[in-house]
Amino acid sequence: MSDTVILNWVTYVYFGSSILYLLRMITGKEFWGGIASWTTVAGFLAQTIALILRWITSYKLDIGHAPLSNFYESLIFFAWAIILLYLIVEWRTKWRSAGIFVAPLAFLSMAYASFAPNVNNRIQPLIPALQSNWLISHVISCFLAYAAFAITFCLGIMYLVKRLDTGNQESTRPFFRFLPETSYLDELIYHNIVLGFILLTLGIVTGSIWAHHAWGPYWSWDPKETWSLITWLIYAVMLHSRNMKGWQGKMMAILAIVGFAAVLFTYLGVNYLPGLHSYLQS
Amino acid sequence: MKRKDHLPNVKKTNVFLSYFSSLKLTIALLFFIVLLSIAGSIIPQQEAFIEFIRHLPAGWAAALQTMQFFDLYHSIWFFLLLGLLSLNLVVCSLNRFPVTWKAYQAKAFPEAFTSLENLPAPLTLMTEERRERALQRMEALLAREYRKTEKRETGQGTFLHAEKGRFSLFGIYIVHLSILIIIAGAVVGSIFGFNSFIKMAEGDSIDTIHLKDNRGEKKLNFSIRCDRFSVNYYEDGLPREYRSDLTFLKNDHVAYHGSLRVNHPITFEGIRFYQASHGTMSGGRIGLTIRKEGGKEQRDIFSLDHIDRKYYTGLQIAYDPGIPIVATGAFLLFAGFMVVFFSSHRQIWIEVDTHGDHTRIRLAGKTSRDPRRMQRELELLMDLYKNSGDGV
Repeated sequence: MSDTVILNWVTYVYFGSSILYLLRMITGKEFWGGIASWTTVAGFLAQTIALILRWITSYKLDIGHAPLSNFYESLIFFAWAIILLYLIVEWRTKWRSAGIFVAPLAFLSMAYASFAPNVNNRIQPLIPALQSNWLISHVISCFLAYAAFAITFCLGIMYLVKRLDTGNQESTRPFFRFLPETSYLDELIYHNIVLGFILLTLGIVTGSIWAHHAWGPYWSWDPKETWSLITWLIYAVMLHSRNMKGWQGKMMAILAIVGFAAVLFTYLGVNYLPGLHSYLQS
Repeated sequence: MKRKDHLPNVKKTNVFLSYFSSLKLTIALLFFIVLLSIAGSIIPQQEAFIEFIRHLPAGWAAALQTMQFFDLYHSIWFFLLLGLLSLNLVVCSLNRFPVTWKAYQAKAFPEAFTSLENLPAPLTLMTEERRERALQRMEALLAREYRKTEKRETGQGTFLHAEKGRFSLFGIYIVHLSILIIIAGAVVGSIFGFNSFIKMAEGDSIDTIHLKDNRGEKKLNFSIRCDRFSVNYYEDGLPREYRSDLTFLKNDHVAYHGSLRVNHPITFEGIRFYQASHGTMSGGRIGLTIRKEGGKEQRDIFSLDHIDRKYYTGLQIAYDPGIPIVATGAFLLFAGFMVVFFSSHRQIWIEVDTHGDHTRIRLAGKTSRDPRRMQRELELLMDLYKNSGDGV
């Protein structure tokens, strides 16, 4: 079976787990949560296999490279990274409620990759600029950072939703009851920002080293570079305001959402600005 | 009015200090840097702005140009913001450093220390062990788990102290220093470095280059000759390799000969050469065969045998003495992150005293950040104590 066929199926699997996580929150039955988790794990394993298969196939085509080189592959890897980080969070905290926000995000990324008409899913050879050992470390650190910020974004939404219900001591609706306490959410938001921030820094630094090898200047104010700096600065402000001013809770949740908007613009929006990183160029 | 005049000078510097060391200023500066960066990514910059200006009324274009809106990242505004941010960082760090230094030098037991009262709520264990025995075991445990421990006997009771990660107090200074080093490296690069772009046809030699940003011409003390340029394609037509065969000549002697490819720059005398672009130019040749075809009307048949395009190669030439500085800064930044995010200064005080017919052990902790980790550490220590039994 070809990797793209598996990846198309994984798209449906993530859609299924989104529905299952939602079912758990509505019915209040943990039974659905268990199925949702195992569905997600199954999807993740299938996706991992597909990625390895794609890597092997590229070598058979004599253009061997890691599946991280075009827009299609980046969307797939984004979804993979989101699910990877989410499963780690679920396993460590034993919470499943973030699933109703995270799984749809992974589904959307997969669906865009699989079904959008302008996304080419063929395995393409690497053009000269991409033939570098820095490709793998640069792309992996950037997309893990994006994924950490995506999780932060989901936690931010959960925080705001949970706050809607803070008046009720004993919430009757399972939807709210299943959401973790705001103080835990706040701490997890912080941990994810730290993780994303370090990875984004790593992504920017590896990108600069690569640029220095490929183009000369390590920084040339290409829109992608500029927007990654903007994103980095937004999260730097968040870390400072939390550590120095003790900003917590609602403010951090809102900033987590704003930060993710900047991440999305860095990833997708800059394609509409002229620059070196544009996925739409070729 | 008069009273204001009599304000001592010290007060003024304090106002200056408190303004330039405020987080508010930092956040405001970062906000403006973000705003300017967004503008720069949307408004066409440098070469692209000439096309853009045509769509604007004349007055506007001139005004925006004087405001340096078309080279924002090299504009006076941007340098001003970076300068202020650096100043802010320096003042902030200098201002806070004495406090950190005091905390770093702080004694485990200050003179006034008599109880655990001023610390977060302690964990308590009541045991039937004798006080001396419990104290001895706890001391042994601390000595095993921590490198630095201290003991103090007061009239109120016996206290133990242990700590980890005192150095982490300096983490934030490492991070801020590394940012300053990176900015310094960028400044060094922009003052003492240069960039240039040259086009060379096969066979051309060049020893003088035009520097970017209207910085005039520069004569190199060597010359570069392009012997050959070639492009390779994959089966589906995408480019596989651009390659320029270059010869570097010094005093008319070949000093270096090599192929320049994308992602494989050549460094010669500290100056780096990059394969940047290519194109075809006039002067290429087409090979044709002419045949006469018989019949009533004689026709000349031309058939195309081969096309020899004449290529030029585009080279990016860069010299940047700031790079080792920026690299040092980036390395230090990660070192600082490790300290700031993954370590913390954690201190533990333990009190062992007799409480009725029991011995009471109390554990209290203080941390520079991450109270949850501190709590876990206290619980772990208590568990270790309980489980160690008589073995210790």
